[in-house]
Amino acid sequence: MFKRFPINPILLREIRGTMRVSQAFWLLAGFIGLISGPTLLVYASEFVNSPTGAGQQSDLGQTIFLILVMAAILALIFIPTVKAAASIAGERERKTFDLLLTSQLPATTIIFGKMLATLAYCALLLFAMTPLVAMTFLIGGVDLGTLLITYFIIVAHVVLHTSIGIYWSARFATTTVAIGASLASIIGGLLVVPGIAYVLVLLIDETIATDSLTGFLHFLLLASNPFVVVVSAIEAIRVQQTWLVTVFISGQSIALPALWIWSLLGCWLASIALLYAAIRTIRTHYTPTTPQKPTKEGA
Amino acid sequence: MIQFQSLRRCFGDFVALDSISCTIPSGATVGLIGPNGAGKTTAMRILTTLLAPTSGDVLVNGVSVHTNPQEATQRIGFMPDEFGKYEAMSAAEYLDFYARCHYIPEHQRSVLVSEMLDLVDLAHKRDDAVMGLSRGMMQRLSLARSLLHNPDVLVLDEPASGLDPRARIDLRGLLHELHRQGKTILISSHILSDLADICTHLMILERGRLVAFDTLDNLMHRAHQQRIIVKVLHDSPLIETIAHQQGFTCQPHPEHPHCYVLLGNHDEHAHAQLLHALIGAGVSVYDFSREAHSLEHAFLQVTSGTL
Repeated sequence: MFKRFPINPILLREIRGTMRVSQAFWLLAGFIGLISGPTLLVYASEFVNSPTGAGQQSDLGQTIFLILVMAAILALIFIPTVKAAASIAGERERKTFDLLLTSQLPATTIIFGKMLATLAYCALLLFAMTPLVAMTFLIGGVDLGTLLITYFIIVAHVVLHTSIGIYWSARFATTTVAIGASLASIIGGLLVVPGIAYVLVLLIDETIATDSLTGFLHFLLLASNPFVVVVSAIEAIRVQQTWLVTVFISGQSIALPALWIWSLLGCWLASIALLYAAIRTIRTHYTPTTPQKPTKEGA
Repeated sequence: MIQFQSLRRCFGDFVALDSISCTIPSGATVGLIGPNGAGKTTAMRILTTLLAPTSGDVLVNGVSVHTNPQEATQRIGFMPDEFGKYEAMSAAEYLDFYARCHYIPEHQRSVLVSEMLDLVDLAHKRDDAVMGLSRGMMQRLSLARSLLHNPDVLVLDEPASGLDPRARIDLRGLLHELHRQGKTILISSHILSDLADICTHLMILERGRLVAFDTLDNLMHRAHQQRIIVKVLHDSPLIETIAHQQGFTCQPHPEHPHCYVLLGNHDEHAHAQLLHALIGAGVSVYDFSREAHSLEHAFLQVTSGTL
């Protein structure tokens, strides 16, 4: 049955290539260290305070879960971005990209192969953090809904960051430039967009003075920040506004989808747009660097 | 058959290829030569669908590389000048990967990979890491890769670059074998002595223009008729006079004394008459020979405009 759907050769090669070198395992170990270190510190610190009541245990579970997720998001912002940014530019640097372009593979297969390979590695990282996440269940305070929504948010942002990396990788010829552009885009998105949101709130507050509109705009711009979205989702679940939030526009209360839903939607749409642009970029005839100028030398 | 149809490619103001038109017959082995910057790589990249022409087109067995690149790539095997390789991959895996990229079915792939490794004499290296192969082995592996989908046309960019003499001889043998199999081969190389041994045709580019396209035999024949070396025991002003009378230009050899270089586009009869006239006039000729020209000489004549 599976033979009817041949595996994307790029995906297969990338996974083999990744898992055959020690870097993949060092990175995995580093990831586990990064997310478990702060978690362990918080747990140890809280353990000293010896929470005994059910409510305190619940708070401890939520705190540990939040720390764990924040650390995971931090790592999963950079890992897929760098890995994806190095993918196509790396092929160019290795002089293998022309060989792919002159094969029968369409641009779509090349892009999705690279994308899925990065996502597969991130899936391994997410799977590796499962035992730590499971610990929070033992402590309590985190339900399955919170866990699933958090995972949805992380996955959506991993897909977005991978798409950003793939896009810049398709645009630039060198890995260094592609990684630089990708990281600049992501750090800009994390820091600049909330900054813009804040400035807009100030400007609109002063000119239009409509709290509801500025609040909604602020709300939407913050949906680009995974840290804010996760905190907001956990809070929304706690106050039992998991799916809908109530906002006031022109004196009327309107129920809108929660921030995490806007965030997921935005991530998926932006990812599709970026992947489409990346496919277009490599589907267009690949132009090499400026050709050699004629010389007087013989052949 | 490869048809270049008024092919032109510009990079800004710089014209890399200027109205290249010629038809390479099926089964020909064509040497693409020219000085650095002549447009060889640009022509090859357009032919292999890696670069779009500014105007004109190239047809490979009737399929346009510009408007139908996907179908054209099925007919073309490309071996670039630099060997692109992946880490942690054996020679057999390398070929298997590219066979997958050409959608060769699984049941054919393992047999095909073994056949290709046998063809390029790398069967004993099938499980060795690609990164550890010598340059000659990598070139042969690259040639095997370009043959995986059984293309009609092979485009080889500097295949012998950096190879030791033994590897070059092996590569020449392989190319002869592919020529016998009926492949149309376009080779860019700076090693003209290798091309002279392999090619049936030559395509000479200079500053983006096609300055010659002919069979190797014709080009060499035309070049052979150009230079006659006459060596005499004693210099004589009669040599120059007689040469002019017979329609040749005559110059003393720049390096050897008592030696003259006669230039003229004449046949063997004219050469015989010239020799007869020289001896008849009492010139002490002890050596009269058409210079044993090489492909290098033909190339220099073509690119200097004297052929």
